[in-house]
Amino acid sequence: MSAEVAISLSGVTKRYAGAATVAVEPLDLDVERGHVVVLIGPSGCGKTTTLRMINRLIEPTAGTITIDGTDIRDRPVTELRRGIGYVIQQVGLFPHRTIAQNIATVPTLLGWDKRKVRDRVDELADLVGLDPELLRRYPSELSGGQQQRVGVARALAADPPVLLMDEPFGAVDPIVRARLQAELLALQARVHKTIVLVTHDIDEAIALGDRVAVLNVGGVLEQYAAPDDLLAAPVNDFVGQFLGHERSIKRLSLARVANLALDGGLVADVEAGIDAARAVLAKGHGAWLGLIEGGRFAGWVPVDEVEAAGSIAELEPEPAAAVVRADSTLREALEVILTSRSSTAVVVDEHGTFGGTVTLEAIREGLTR
Amino acid sequence: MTTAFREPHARSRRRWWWLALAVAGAAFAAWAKVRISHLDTSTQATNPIIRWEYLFKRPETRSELWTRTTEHLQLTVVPVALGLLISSMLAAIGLRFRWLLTPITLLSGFLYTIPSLALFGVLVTYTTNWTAAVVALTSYTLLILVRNIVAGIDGVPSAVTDAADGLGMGRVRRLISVELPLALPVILTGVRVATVTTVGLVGISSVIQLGGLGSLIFTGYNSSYPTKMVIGAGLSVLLAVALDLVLRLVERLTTPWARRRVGA
Repeated sequence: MSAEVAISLSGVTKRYAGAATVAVEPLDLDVERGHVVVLIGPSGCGKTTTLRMINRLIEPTAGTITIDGTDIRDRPVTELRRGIGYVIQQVGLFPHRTIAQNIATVPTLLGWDKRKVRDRVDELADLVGLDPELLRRYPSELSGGQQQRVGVARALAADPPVLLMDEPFGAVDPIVRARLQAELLALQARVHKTIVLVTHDIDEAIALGDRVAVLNVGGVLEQYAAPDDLLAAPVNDFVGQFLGHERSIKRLSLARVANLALDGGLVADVEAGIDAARAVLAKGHGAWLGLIEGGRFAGWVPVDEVEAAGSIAELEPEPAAAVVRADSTLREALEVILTSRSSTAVVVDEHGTFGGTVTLEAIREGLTR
Repeated sequence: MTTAFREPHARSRRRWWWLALAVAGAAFAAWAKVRISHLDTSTQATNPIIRWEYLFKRPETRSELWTRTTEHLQLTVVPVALGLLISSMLAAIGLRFRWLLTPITLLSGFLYTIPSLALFGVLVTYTTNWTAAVVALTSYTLLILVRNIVAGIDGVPSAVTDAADGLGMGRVRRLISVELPLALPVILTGVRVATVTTVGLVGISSVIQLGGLGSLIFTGYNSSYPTKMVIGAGLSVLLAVALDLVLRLVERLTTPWARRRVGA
């Protein structure tokens, strides 16, 4: 991804008149274009305040915010907001307008012609996975998950480059939330928006964020890092406690098999012959030898059989019990290994080509790097 | 959020039953009175509660009742319309400058407590009878209307106004295309209450020679002609019910979204 900065906060401060404490301390934060940045922290950390300062629903006491290098105060406020998607926890759909009218809110404000608006609404319904049948209904006739999808569609209607999401999945049940999170990631892979998302759920932050900003009470930025770096090396106790006790377990869901330093393991190519196979065994320890045939993993053979055999052709390899894809998470790899009772999983790419092996040891190494 | 908009329906339905009960009670009382007067011919028979010949034999009756009803209707609709206009402005001021809301409510509440007869009496010394009646009746609608407009707008869920702001609606557009439509059920409930109340209050304005159904009641009373009293009261109730129904229909037509929901 490019390192171009889309949103930049510098020295942004919010102080409420008559309040003893500062809501947001001078805060500096750069959001790269096309990234999902998650603001997280305990209540009172000013994460929502910070988010709402970006579309000027709250005016900063001091400091400047720029989007694409332009100060957000240089444009009329309504014009600024029409160019920024906005999704909130309670969705805030207009109950007296149909779903189609809700989605069409910003295009209508921008004065698009009717035909263009209608086409765009259909396109968005498809994009967020909304049954076109629902477009004629009123919000009260939809489930919470469907309403939230409409909220996202409405925010994306005029194709704004920036999307602000304030606890977007906080009001739906955990099952729907997990599905909506996955949908958001799939959506983001297609639309590449710059997204700033507020949550209090660390798992959501880790799942969705390209970078996570951990804020302390008073808007103090404690750490701003990619989720894996955050989990691997929290800068202080506050961040460590906030991340919780199962940091390594959480990292398992982030790191992918391809990230590990995959070694070939005890494998030999059928073409190379029996002597080459025995040479492989001499280099390492193990009870099984893997055989590769035509770039694919043919199966495992017990070491003593290899020693006793006259040629490779005599061997009858057993198919691999544990197979993972290179783009699987370590969590999935671990699951495969634990359930197959095999200590080694075979890694293949999407075409089934052999890519190496992964062991419990390799996973542990990967987490301690 | 959704229940807040349903409540007015439930409440007005209850009032509706009371009204029906009152009409039924009045009808029964009238019927009983007639029965009694027939039994005791020596004292009552000369003056029955309803003289059918007044209703059906007298040629002028129809035009008289029509005139009285339209007078009544006019003295109801004009003050409620004026009241709605003034209340909208007062509510707008109160919503914009919150600290003015209490004085506005107190003032309209104060107006509401002045006995109507006294207010007519004072006002007629300054202006024509008709204007006096309209001013007085208008002032009685303010409390209900201001309160319902403010409650209606305040009742719009904050998430909805937040979304409207965040999507880039201006203040005026937000009011016209989001807040007013959503406040409409509550505002129209206020208009209904104000209308029904005014229909009742108009009766008293006949004291200052403005006609209306009240004058039927008064002349009937003064000339010991109960038929006119019964007809006047009955038409007044019918007028209130009819206006209530019309406004209820308006509410239904303007808020199709309020009735549709999951599983409904």
